[in-house]
Amino acid sequence: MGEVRNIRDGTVSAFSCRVPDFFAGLTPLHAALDYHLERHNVIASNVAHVDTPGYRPHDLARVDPNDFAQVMGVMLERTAPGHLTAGSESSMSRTGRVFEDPAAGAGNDGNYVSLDRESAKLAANHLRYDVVSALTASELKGLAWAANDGKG
Amino acid sequence: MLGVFSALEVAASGLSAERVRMNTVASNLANVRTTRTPEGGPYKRLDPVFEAVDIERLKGTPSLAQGVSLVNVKRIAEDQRPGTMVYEPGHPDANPDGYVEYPNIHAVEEMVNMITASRAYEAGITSIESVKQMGRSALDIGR
Repeated sequence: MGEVRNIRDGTVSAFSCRVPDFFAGLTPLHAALDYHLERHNVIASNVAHVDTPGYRPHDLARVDPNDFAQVMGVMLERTAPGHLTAGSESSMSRTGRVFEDPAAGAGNDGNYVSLDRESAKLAANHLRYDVVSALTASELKGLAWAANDGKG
Repeated sequence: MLGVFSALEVAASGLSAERVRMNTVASNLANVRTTRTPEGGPYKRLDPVFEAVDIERLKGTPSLAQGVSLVNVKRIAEDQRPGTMVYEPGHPDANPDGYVEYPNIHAVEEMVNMITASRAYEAGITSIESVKQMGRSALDIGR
């Protein structure tokens, strides 16, 4: 353990040898994978309901973990219909906020699903998932490389 | 918790609903000239009615609240529009005025229904393929 002299008051203190959290880089990637998987569920449900009368498509918005109101909105779950809802939406999910996303005009059956839009979202979400999973793989590869003393 | 397999479940429920629609279209097209049914009268055009239902497995939190729901064929409704009257006095099902009531089926309408059903089916297949590939790329993380 080394010594560090504080320039301002001249006191000597021991080194703080903090070990960096090697896996800290994985946490956001993990959250992103979860989010994209869950969003995929929501979009797949929209695609499946392309012919259900009166169906309004949903989407999943990411929640900023530093925003207290948003996090509380996800964590507070209604267990009885009489409960007040947290935030503006009544539907919550674990990784994000579910909201109604009726973009297309409803036809005679009151269905708001636009197949083109949902397939585009599905493809984009898939690509993003692949990108995040590639990043996760390379992060893990980097850690394995470090653990092997840089020998592969 | 929703996962890879619930996405498959949801997409599969959409596929089977579209298949029911396809079956009714086939039945309608096949019976375009059917003038006799067990219930009496000409064949009536059939139309499936879909509804959104919760995933049974996720009892704790309603899956509808999570933006995910299965497709269910609620019922197969009979179209109550009147059929086309054709003057055919020699037909055994002709009424006293010599008119035969043919089913209320329009081939063009059925073709349109058939195409939309098959497009919706293809979209469901695409989302299943996508889920499968996502699962595969998740497995590739450990390699």
